[in-house]
Amino acid sequence: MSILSPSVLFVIFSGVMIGIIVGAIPGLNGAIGISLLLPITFTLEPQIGLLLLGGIYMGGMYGGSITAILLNVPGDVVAAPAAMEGYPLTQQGRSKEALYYSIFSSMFGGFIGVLILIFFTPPLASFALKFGPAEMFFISLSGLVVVGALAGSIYKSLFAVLFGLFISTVGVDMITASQRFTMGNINLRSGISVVPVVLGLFCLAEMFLNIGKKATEVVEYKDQDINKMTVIKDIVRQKSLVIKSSLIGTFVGLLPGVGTTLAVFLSYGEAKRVSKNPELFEKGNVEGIIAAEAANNATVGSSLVPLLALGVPGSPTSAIIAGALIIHGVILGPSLFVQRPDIAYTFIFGMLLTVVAMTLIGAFGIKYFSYILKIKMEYIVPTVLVFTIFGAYSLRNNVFDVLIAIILGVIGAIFKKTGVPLAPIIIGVVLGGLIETNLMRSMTIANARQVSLVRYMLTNPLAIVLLVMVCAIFYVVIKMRATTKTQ
Amino acid sequence: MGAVWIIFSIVAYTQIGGLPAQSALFPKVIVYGIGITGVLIIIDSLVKVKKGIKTDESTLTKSVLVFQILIPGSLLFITYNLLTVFGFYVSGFFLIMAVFFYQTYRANNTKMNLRHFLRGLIFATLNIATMYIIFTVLLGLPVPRGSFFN
Repeated sequence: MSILSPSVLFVIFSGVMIGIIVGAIPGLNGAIGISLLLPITFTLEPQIGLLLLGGIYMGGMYGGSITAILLNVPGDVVAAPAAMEGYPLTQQGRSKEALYYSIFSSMFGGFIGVLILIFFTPPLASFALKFGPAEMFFISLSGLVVVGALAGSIYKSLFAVLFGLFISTVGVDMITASQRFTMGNINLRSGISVVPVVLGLFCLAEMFLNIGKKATEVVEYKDQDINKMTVIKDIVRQKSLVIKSSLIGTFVGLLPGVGTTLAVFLSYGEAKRVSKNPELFEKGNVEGIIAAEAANNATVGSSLVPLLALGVPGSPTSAIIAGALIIHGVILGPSLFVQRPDIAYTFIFGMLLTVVAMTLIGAFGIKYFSYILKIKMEYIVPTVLVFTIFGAYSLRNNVFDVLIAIILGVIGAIFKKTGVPLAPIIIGVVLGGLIETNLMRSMTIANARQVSLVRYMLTNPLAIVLLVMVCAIFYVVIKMRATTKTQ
Repeated sequence: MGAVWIIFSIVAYTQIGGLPAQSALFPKVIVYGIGITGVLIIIDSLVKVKKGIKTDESTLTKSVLVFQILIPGSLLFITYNLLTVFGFYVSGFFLIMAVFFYQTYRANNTKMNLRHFLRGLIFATLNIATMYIIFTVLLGLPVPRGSFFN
C-alpha cells in the first residue's frame, strides 16, 4: 500500500486534525484522542490505523500550544513554556506571530524526531533480534525508569508502576494455568486488557475532574498581521537553537519511559541559559516558544523508536499505540520488522507525512483555532464519556470491560488528586507481560543449565551492557529531574 | 495513603497463597514492592513532618470526591447496568442527558429550565444519532446489546 494514496493521506490529515483539536481543547489531549479513536482503528488495516493514531500524537503535541498561547491555559504540562512565552505575546496583540513560531518550530522538531525514527529504528531492531530472554528482561526493565523521571513523589511514581504491573498479572497464568487475582470472576480469567485501563485512567478520570469547570473563555481574535515567511526566516536564523532543542527532545524521547515534559523544560531552560536576552523570558520571548515546541514534537518520532525496535514504549502515548498494535495481533519488538515489515515501514515513513500535515493545517488554520476554544465542557464531557463506554466495550465485545474502565476511572481520578501519576500505570500494564515472560524464560534456561538466575543473566556480555545501560538511563533521568527542578 | 497501599498489598498477598511457586513469583515481588512503597511513604511523611516540610500534595477534598468523582462514577455505573437491559444507544442517551444537566448545574449552579432541558434533549439526540451513523451504519461495529434494544 502506498503511503501517498488518497485514502492514506486522508487518514493522516484526519488524524492530525483530530490531534490538533483534542490537543487544543482544555481538558483533552493527544493521549485521550488516541484512546477514544482506538476502536475506529479495529476496522482499518493495522498500518492505516497506526498512522491515524500517529497523526493524532503529532497533532496533539502541537495543539496544546494553541490554548497555551491564546488563553494561557496549557492543556498539558508540556505546553507550559508555550503559555509562559506565548500568552504575553497574545496580550501584546501578537498571538498570530506566537502561533506561527509554535507551528514552524514544531515542524522542525517533528522532522528531526521522525528522521531519527526512520534511520535508527531498523538497525536497532535488527541488532535487537540477537537478544535473548535476559537481554529482553533488562530492556523491558529500562521502560520502568519512568519512576525517576516524573515530578512529585518518587514513591508515588514507584507505586504507580507497581500498580500497573499488578494489573498485568490479573488473569490465568499462561505457564501453570492457575488463576491470579481473579476472585473467581470468569471475566477476569483472560486478564485486564490495556484498552479499558487507558480509557479509564486517561479519559474517564480526566472527564470526572472536568465536571464543574466553566465554559472555555471565548477569544476575540484581533491581531497584528505577520507574514509566515518572516517567521520561518527568523527560525532559520536561529538554527542552532532549533537544532539543539530538537536534539534534546530526540534524546529524551529515545530514553524509554522518560516522556516529553523533561525534554521541553530542559530545552526551555537551555534556551534561557544561552539567550542574549534572558530577562525577556516569561515576558513574550519567541526563543522560549521555539525551544519548547521544537523539543516536544521531536519526542514524538524518537519515543516511537524503542517501541518499534524493542517493544518498549517510550512515552505514555506510545504505550497506548502499543496497545493498538497488540489489539491488531502485531507482536511488538524487533521481530516486527521481520514478520510485518509492511506495517513497520509504512508507519515510520508515514510519520513524515504527519509532520507535513501538521504544518499545513497549523499554518493555514490559525484563524480558525479560536473556534475550537468555543466548545463548551457541557458538550465535551458527556460525548467523551459515551465514546469511552463504546471504546471499552469494542475491544472484546465484553460489557465487563466497561465496568473495568469505570472502576479505573474512579481510581484514576482519586490518584490524580492525590498526586499519583497515571502514565507509569499504563507503562506497567504494557510491560508487565514482557517482563514476566522473559523472567520466566530466563529462569527455565538457568534451571536447564543448572546455574543460578543471576549467573545466567550476567553471563552474556550483551546482558551486562544492557544492565549497565538501564542503570545509566536511571542515573541520567534522576540527574535531569534534579536539573529540571532547579530550573 | 501509605496505609492504604499496605492494606492493599496484604489483601493481594492473601490471594497468592495457593498459587504454584512459579505463578506466584512475579506477583509476589510486585505485592512486596507495593507494601514496601507504602511503608516508605509513611516514613517519608513522618520525616517531613519532623523537619517541618509541607507534606500533603493531595488536592482530594470531600467535595471533589463526592461531586467530581463519586456522583459521575455512579452515573456511569447506572449506565453500565442499563447497557445490558436497554443497549448502548438508549443507555448512552441517558448518560448524555444526565451528565449534560449535572455538568451545567455544577458549572453554573443554575436550576434546570425548559430551554435548558430542550438544549440537552437536542444535543443528546444529535449525539446518539451521529454515533449510530458512524458506529453501526458506516463502520458496522458491534455495540452492547440490551434485552429490549440494541
